[in-house]
Amino acid sequence: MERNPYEYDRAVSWIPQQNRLSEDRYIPARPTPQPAALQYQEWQQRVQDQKPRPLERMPKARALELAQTYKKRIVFASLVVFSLLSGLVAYHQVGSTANLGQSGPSQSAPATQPSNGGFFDQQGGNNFGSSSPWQPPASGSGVS
Amino acid sequence: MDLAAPGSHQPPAPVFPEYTLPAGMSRGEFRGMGTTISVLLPEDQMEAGMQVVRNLFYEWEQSLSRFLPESELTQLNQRTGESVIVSELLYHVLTTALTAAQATGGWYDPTLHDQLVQLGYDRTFDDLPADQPNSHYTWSPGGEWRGIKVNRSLRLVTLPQGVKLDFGGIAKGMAVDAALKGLHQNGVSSALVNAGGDLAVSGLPPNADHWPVAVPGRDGCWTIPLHHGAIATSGIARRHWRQGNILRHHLLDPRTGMPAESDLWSVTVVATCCEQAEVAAKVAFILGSRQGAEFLRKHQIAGLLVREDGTWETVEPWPVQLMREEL
Repeated sequence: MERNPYEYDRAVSWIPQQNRLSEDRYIPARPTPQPAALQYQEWQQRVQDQKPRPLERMPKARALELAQTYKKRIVFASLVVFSLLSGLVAYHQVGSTANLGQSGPSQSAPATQPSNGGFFDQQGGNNFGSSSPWQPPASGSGVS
Repeated sequence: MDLAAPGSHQPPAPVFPEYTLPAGMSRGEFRGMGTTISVLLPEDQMEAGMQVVRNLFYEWEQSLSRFLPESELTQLNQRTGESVIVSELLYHVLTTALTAAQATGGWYDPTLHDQLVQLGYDRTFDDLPADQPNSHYTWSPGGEWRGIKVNRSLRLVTLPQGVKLDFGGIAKGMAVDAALKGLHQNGVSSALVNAGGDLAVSGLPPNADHWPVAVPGRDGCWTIPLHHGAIATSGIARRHWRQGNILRHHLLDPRTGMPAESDLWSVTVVATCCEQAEVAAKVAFILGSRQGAEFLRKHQIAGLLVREDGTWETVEPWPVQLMREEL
């Protein structure tokens, strides 16, 4: 954030902005008028400074830059608002489904089926011992 | 499906030899999820380990049994066509079942509940009478699992109108896997958990390089050396009943919704985890010996396929040379 120098250093004299930078070129500050001889001129100059001046044209590059910035902000804000609204709508529908569960079928619950991959994947290699059993069975796989 | 003419014999259940205890291990048993849960644990970890397994199976049964009116699954089945928020457990089992259905092209189908009920399997198998009254059965294929909607972030499930879930053995297989994981988290590094034939192991018994496990044939059984992973068997030797004059069983063909007409007696598979083994065995059985073997080969799952006539074939890497026949 830019700091306003006048908030921190009140000794700095006020200099009109248009006298410092205009149309990308530097305009030197007015020479300090002589106290006695230039009273009227100074007064006139002050009056002139206080008059409303016509709006200056913004440089094209600056205008384009601002337009781009505003455009980005509008797009971002639109996305945020759209996401929020979508979320609210979805939440409302699922909540309604759950609440209406006792009264009838609903189409709002996403229909998903588990994938078929991997159910029979075999791990650990050969499941059998290396030698024939030498003792009676400890248990049995009866017909179920 | 008419498995047998009126008056013909029912398939006998295979008889296993008496089990032995590996040195340093203890065995505990209890009833859960409609079957006997058998657990082998190190002697000094028996009590704490059994508590872990018992609690887990109790929780899973209370949530996932289609026979308990207050279970979460029953409640969900009563609200078809609605969007329902379910527990993490039910969501996990359901999505695993849907994954399995997709991975098998629909040969495993968790939405054949009504077909099973119409065929007479309307209560726990322990309570099911061997003879059910004849009833008119409406031909109804499966595939309704494709219409189930799930929302992961909200654990929201929507079953299509009139479609109910029956996970079958996959929930049992998953419970076995979860029990082993729970034991491991509680410091038990060597264990075997067997839920009515769906079993898995972790670690090894003391001073042993495998777990000797019995697998059924048509008229006898073999013992194989299981080093790690899981094993499951599907067949019609146990879960069958008579509806009128027709013999029924619980392994339904999703194309028809009727008991599968398979040339197989049983299929035993060994896989990395029990949920895989359970689904693979069931699908291979429904497909029959030729297609079933192809299916196992495609997924590189070791299998033993026993035909109705007692002949058998294996799918690599089944350890044919290590099978020991039990007398």
